[in-house]
Amino acid sequence: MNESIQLLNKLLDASAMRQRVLANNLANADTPRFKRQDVEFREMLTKAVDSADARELAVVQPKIVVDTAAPSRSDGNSVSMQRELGEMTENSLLYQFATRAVSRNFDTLRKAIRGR
Amino acid sequence: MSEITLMPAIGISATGLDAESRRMDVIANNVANAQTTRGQDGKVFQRKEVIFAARLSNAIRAGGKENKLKGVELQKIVADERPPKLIYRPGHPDADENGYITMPNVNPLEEMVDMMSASRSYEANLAAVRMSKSMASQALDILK
Repeated sequence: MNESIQLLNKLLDASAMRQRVLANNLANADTPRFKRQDVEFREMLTKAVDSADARELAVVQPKIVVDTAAPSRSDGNSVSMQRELGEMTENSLLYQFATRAVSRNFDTLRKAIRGR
Repeated sequence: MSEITLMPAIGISATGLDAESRRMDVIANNVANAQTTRGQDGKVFQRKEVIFAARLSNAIRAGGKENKLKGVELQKIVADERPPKLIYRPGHPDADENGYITMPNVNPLEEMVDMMSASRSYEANLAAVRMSKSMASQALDILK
């Protein structure tokens, strides 16, 4: 119970951060030479979960990285509005999933306390 | 620890909305002054151009921490130095001895395209605000 809340907590933190990074990309859609950024956490989280060690999970920290693979326009900007909006939609669904799962967890806990 | 702010992403998108709407102002001003032969300094109007700059610069250097993500800012409004157009209009009071007047270097087509781009970017930022808002309200729903 405790671990799954902790995992969901990490997921919420990371996707909130990703939302900020994507919003920042969109705000800079017309800034010359701006390179889009993204958040790296999926691999780290998967690794921590696979290791089945609670301490491993506690130290997972989402990281902001520059996306070097994205193609640049002629003004050196690599933000694609469609892509950012698409990623943002996906990210907000992930966030929604995490918030619902947290609620579900608390509901279960409440039932256990009440005994019904 | 992350920031206490409930919806910081909205602040970031707001800088985008602000910058794009100011860009729109500059474009509208260019279009409005497409025929202005006497600008503020008494000379022919010069087309204005905006310069956007990211307000983050060292987000990556700060070890991937996010507190340096600050959106965009309209750094400067500069004059377009392309030469003005010459039009033959001998009756005009601003015409030179050969009957030519210098008209602003504003190209309405160019301004229209810029305006479309600014308005699309504005919409994208607005969509981001909506999404951040729905995320924040989902987080509040955990308390229900």
